[in-house]
Amino acid sequence: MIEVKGLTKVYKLSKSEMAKRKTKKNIKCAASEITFSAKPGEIYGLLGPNGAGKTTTLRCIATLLTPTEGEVKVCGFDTVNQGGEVRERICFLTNEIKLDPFFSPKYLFEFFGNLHGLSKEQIEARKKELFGYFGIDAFEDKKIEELSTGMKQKAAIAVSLVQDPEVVIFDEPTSGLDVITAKSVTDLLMNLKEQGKTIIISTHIMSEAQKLCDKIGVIIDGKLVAEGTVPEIVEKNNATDLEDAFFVLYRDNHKEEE
Amino acid sequence: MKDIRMIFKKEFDRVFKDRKLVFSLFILPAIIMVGLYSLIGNLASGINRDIKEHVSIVYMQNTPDDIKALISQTGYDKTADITFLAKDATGIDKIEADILEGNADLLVTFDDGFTDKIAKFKNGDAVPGIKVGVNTAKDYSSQAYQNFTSYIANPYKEAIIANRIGGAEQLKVFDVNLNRIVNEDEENGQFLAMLIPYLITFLIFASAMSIVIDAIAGEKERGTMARLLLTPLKRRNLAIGKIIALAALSIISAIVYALSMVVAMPMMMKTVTGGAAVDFSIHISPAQILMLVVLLIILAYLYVSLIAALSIRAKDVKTASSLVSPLYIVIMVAALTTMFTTSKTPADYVFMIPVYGTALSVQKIMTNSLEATQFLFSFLGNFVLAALCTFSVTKSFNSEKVMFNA
Repeated sequence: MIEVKGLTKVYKLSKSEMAKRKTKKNIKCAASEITFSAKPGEIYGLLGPNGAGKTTTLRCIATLLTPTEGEVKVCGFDTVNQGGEVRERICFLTNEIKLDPFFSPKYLFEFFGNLHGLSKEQIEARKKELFGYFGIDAFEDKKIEELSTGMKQKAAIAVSLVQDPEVVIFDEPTSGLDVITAKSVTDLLMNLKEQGKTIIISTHIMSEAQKLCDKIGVIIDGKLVAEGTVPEIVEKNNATDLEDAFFVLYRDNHKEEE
Repeated sequence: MKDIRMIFKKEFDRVFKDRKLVFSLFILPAIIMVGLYSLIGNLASGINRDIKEHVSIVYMQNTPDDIKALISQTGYDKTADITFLAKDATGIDKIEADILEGNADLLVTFDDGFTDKIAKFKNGDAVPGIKVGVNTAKDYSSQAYQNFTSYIANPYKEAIIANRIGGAEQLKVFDVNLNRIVNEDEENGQFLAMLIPYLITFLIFASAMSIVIDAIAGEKERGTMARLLLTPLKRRNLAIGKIIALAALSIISAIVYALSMVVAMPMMMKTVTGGAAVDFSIHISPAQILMLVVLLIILAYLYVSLIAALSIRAKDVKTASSLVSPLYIVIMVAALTTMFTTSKTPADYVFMIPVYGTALSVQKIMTNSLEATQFLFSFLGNFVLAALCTFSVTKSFNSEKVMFNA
């Protein structure tokens, strides 16, 4: 279960960042009063253009960032005051967070299993299950740096799921993947959903959101401007499909930065 | 504690499971050190041998007969290819130009009537002279001059003194007898006391630099640090685990360096001195050895925490290297300063200066004379700074601005 209430995240900008963004403001509001919740057995999708605040929201849920205002709870634990408890229950996947290239998938699986406090037997059982599912057994002893992008992604997902987390956070799950690996990732998400996990993903790919998500939150310029099932969002915006609805929402809510 | 152990093990595995890294961190420096010192020794001895074996090109003008006789008598003619010139010989300018160019080595010109003047010399007369043209910028020319004085000028002078006053001993008024009251360890340790503090303090830093930058800024750059931060692991334990492991790795690397030097330096000295053994042996008491070990450990801890405190603020290895570089110079200067100290021991509080105090302590250990207070002050100076840096690293691990540029 994920509960986000009035989440606001403000970044202070350095002079060089202000110059880079061509703005006179020394702050940037990446997320503004965002409120939503995701339940177990549900895939919640955050949909928005690049720089809308999707990743910031996910990072706040994953305890990597502290909200400036508002509250985020995961499985009933506060992400600020009970970060350790939250991290025991989540897995956060993103293209920016990688596996150490000098180790093998097997080594890293056991290492992170140990860090999550799993016993040797528990790690072995999870390894058998996940390595079997992704077909990692064939390259479990190879160094990460020797693997293809698809193999790396599979290994990263398996390692992230080592502790059988209740909540799965996935930032741009199929970004940069080939069709076959992307399919295995979407299949995994559906599988995890069936297992009753709470899943939240961010995406800017309409077809992915439409296919995977039970509920969608549209974020534009750091604000949650629409929320609901795909048919609800389409209907509310008098659109023909999700893509059409998204463009209506973008046109009505996007403001150019001063 | 279990968390710290796991991080420690991971950092060790990172190094020791990678053959390339083991080779570049521990084997290559040893090979380079031994190879480099052997090369320096061989080159130096080669130069010495070449200078010694070189047959000098010497011109002698207006040479008296008794000098000519001395030349063959002392065997000087075997070390030099001598051309005798008449008193009024021409082409002297050309010979001087050749000496300047290195095509000739020495021009010796005797005063007119040199032997007669010596024989008839009375107090108040002008002293007869030998004018020697030498190019002191050229090794061959300098060696030719040395050979001339040792084979010809000095024996000739001694013979004349013996003739005049019945022997050189007559000039001796009294003897000064040296009674050596010395601690052999202290004397033998003088050379090491000058060299070792610099090497130890500097080499541990050099070893720590690459390992720490890679383990901190490298992990941030590769995107693997965030994965660690997503585990229930306490960030303080992550910082401590990394620092302890990296300090241990730095010490191992520094030991490899030091052992290579211990092996390589006598080899080099032996080659330079033409096979003569050089005695570096010193006796250090167990208490002093214990203090040395403790100081090395605390110094490695200081270096690792200092480099980590800077590296964590960098977004990649390149930025971290440029942040750490000024520190590299400071450490080098602090270590070098101890090479130019006198026997006077500084006040105890000076030992509290991080790095410099340790270099001073190591210097005193080499002469078996480090006192407990000095050791304690040195330990505390390093420890306090290292603890502050560790605190800063831990704070940085908790800072989203530092870790995620947020």
